[in-house]
Amino acid sequence: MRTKTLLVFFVLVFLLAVSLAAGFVFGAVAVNPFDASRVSEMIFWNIRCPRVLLAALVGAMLSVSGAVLQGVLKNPLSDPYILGVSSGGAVGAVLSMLIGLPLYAVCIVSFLFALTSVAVVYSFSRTSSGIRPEVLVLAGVALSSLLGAALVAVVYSSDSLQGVYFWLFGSFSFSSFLFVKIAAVIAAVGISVSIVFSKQLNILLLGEEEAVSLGVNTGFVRAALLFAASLLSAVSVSMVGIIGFVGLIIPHIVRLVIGGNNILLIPASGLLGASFLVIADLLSRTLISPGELPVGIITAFVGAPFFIFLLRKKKND
Amino acid sequence: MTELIKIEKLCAGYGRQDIIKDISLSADKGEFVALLGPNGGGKTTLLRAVLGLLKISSGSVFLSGEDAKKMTTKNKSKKLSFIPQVSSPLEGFSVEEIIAMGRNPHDTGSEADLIAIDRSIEKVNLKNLRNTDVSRISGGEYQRVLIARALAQETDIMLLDEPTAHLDIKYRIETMRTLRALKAEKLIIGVFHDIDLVKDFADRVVLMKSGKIAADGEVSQVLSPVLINEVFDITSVA
Repeated sequence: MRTKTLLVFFVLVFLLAVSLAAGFVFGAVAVNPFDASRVSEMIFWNIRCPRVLLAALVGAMLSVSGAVLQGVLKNPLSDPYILGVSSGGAVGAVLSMLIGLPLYAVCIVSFLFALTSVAVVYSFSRTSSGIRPEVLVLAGVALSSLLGAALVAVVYSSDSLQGVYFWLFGSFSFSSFLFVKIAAVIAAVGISVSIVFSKQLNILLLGEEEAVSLGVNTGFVRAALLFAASLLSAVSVSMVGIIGFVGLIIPHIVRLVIGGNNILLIPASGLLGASFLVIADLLSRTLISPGELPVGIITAFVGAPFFIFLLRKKKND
Repeated sequence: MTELIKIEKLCAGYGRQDIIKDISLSADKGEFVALLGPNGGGKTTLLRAVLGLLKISSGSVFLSGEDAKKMTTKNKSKKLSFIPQVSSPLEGFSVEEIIAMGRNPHDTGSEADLIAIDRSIEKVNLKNLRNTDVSRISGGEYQRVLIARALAQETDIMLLDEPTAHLDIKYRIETMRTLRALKAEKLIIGVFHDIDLVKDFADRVVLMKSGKIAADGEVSQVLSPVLINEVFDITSVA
């Protein structure tokens, strides 16, 4: 590994440590880590800690999912929701809220709907010679539009669905250690699969002919990576709703700094995504404290200008 | 002794339609074979069928005596390497990173990898560009990167699909010289369009038309004006 890459990883790990520390300490009520009072302890363990850890995990999951999908679909506009995960998840969530299911059941139904959407999109794009990425993207967009329309129709016809905004804008306010544990397991599985196949993903970028001639079983590698990316995003959506921007932009920011090699890009995107979402969540709960802004608004407001700045800088270089 | 490649009565194409019909061909180490013929003649389809990118409807391909149908993608890639037309290179990858992809078929991470990569870089004279991003090098230089990648793959057979298509005359000659220098240790089979380059550098020409072999033999025998006129249907244009 070259010195620059090592330095980048060192900075990313440091950044994550600082963001986590800030996330733990600051909030509507500042918590002094050396204060042993019961209130501080309760806020820290019951509210702050799971929320910050979940934000870090979801940030990593969405960023890795985005990086993988941008590579597999060879489409820089791909984000974790491109295959219909978000609209599927949202429809599942809204329907289960409509029939009055408890929160954990809402999450499970949302997850199942998210994965079903991906399966439908995936089956549309399968041909005898394998998956066609361009059909996959178009089928994803079409299904998302259809489900989006269904979602609006359901929300429009019901006046008891305030909770749906939680899904549409994303929030960490329902975080718990159970969510953290589930997210940690899924993140470990999904990110490991992505890293294991990252070398093959690099070769896939060269195109089908070259990848096959270099010994890559393209069908299997694509399917494994699509499964990992979908799993990561479906679990995120079912727990915290739709947080836009992170999965699209974080991999691009990392790519501008360390290049397109997925062996480095995937773990680096995970680290930066984790820090980014911890900070975004911190801002969402402190800017209008004691109120709370949807975290998706923060990710767009902070991320977009920074990304444009990086793009301009790269162009001038 | 078994030939490096032996194709027997091969029929293959897209969907249910066969583009190449009844192709039989064999070749061995030390040969530089050029596939020539008009567009749609089946040259690239033949390469794709040998690479395993197309469904073979009948016939067989044997690589060093082994039936290619029964080989895994990985095992096949230890015997066959492929050099495509120069396309737009991937941004964000260095010359060395692209060449290192040639080691994928082998169990990577060993010292043999580093030696193979170093040797390939040296052979095509890319030492000074080793860490350069491939999007910043010329088409001719990228073609050398692709040749180096195929060398790092350490296969006996190299397949090429119009490797000089988008290059100017200087790089065309340079590419052909590099390939010619490699043929002593390999079998090189390539699709070409430039008859003059084929005359100067190849040993053997396989002329293809309408999915069939129209002629197969030494350059001087096959590239006669009469055969060229007939296969390329030049008189109908005049």
